[in-house]
Amino acid sequence: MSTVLLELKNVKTHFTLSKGVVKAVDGVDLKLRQGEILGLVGESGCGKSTLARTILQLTPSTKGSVKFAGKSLGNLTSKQLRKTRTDFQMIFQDPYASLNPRMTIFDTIAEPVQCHKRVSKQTLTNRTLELMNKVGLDPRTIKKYPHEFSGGQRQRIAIARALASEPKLIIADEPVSALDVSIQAQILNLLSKLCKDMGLTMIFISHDLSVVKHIADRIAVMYLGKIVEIGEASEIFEQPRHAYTKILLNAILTPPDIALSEYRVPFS
Amino acid sequence: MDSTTLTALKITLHCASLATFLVMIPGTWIAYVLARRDFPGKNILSAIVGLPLVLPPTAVGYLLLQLLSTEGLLGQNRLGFDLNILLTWKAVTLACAVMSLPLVIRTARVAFEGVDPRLESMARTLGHSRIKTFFCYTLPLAFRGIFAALILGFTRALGEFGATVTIAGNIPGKTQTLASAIFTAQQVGNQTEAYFLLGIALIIGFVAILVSEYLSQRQTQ
Repeated sequence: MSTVLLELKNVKTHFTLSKGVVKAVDGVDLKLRQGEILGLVGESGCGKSTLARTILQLTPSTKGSVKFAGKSLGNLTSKQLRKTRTDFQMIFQDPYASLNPRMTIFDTIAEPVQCHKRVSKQTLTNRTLELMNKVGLDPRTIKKYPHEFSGGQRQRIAIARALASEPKLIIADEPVSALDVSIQAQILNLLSKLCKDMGLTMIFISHDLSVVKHIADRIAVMYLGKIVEIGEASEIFEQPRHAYTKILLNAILTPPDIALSEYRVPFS
Repeated sequence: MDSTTLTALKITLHCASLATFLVMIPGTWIAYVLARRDFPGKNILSAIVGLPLVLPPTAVGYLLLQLLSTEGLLGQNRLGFDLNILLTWKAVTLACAVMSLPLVIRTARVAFEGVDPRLESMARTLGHSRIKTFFCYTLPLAFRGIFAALILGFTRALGEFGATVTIAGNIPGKTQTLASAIFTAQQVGNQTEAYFLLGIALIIGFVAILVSEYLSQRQTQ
């Protein structure tokens, strides 16, 4: 059995506001094994993105521990944390807001490598071209700026950048929700292929169970800051235990029955 | 152009430039803090730094006068030495800086608020420190707005009158600025001189705004 890469123990992230305390993440326990794709689903505002930010240490946890490859991230100094960040990368929801508009594609993809190592320009160019090829981007566009690309292409750039530092874990926060349905399928297939080929571990966040179904090995259902159900993807779809999971499953749109779709209302 | 007018012009440009330079770093920093950080008393800080914008300039000048007077918080008796600011070009610069600071802060704050915080989060996930994120992402993306803020601050300093007259006086060849020279010319009924100075003020203001527009466009390209 593969080793545990990420372990969360009773993680809580609370925000104190003037109106009271918001329990965005409220006692999450989770284990993620190397090479596994975990789908994290739940409605908007249930704490999925806050959990992702807490794992990445962008938002400090109020309580609990986040262990990555056996190291407790909360105990690291800011310098150690910056070094460790090469091991876990994030793909953001909005490809329009996650790319620096003043950076070319070369600068964008090369940035995570340059951030931590001194690498020659030639090596960087080769690495960038290799990554562009991997995610299906035309290498001739290396000197273009993000505004010259479509949403799907931008998300490919973001994926290439996330892969640049050779991370062990990728957190994809609703990476397809801002894209057209046809492009969504392309990006899902690309992520799935990359994970398989490169042996990546991924947390795939979505509010849509039907999207997660295609990519995840296991699914965790989150509701009001807690994980209410977790299990194999097939198990969640076939034998949901929690009432909220059942509601989410019922919300999935299915193609209409053929016999019904062929039925036409008489015109007159 | 007589020598007094030329000196008034020189003093105005010199003091306005120096005042803009003085407020550049603190103004940008305060604007960033107000745009990005949440802390107790944030609204109070925002109100305090915005006060010179709503107070009569003479009131700000009077406040500065009290601070710098012999018995004031920054006076000779408290500090043990004389800062030697009042009625000098330094007082003109101080008045210009204080009056232009809120305008710089407000405009730069809007520029910082216009930078998507998700980009900053993304930069940190790549391994950048907070400082590097600020210099590599936030500042370059807000630069045009900050530059516009500084141009506005500079033009505000060019036209500063009330606070300047209160703490620096209106001494020809020493503390007389373009604004106070226009006032003097108008008071003594020298219409020709007043119109001439008005023309200069118009040209400087127009050129300053034109340059800012030109540089902003170059920045976009």
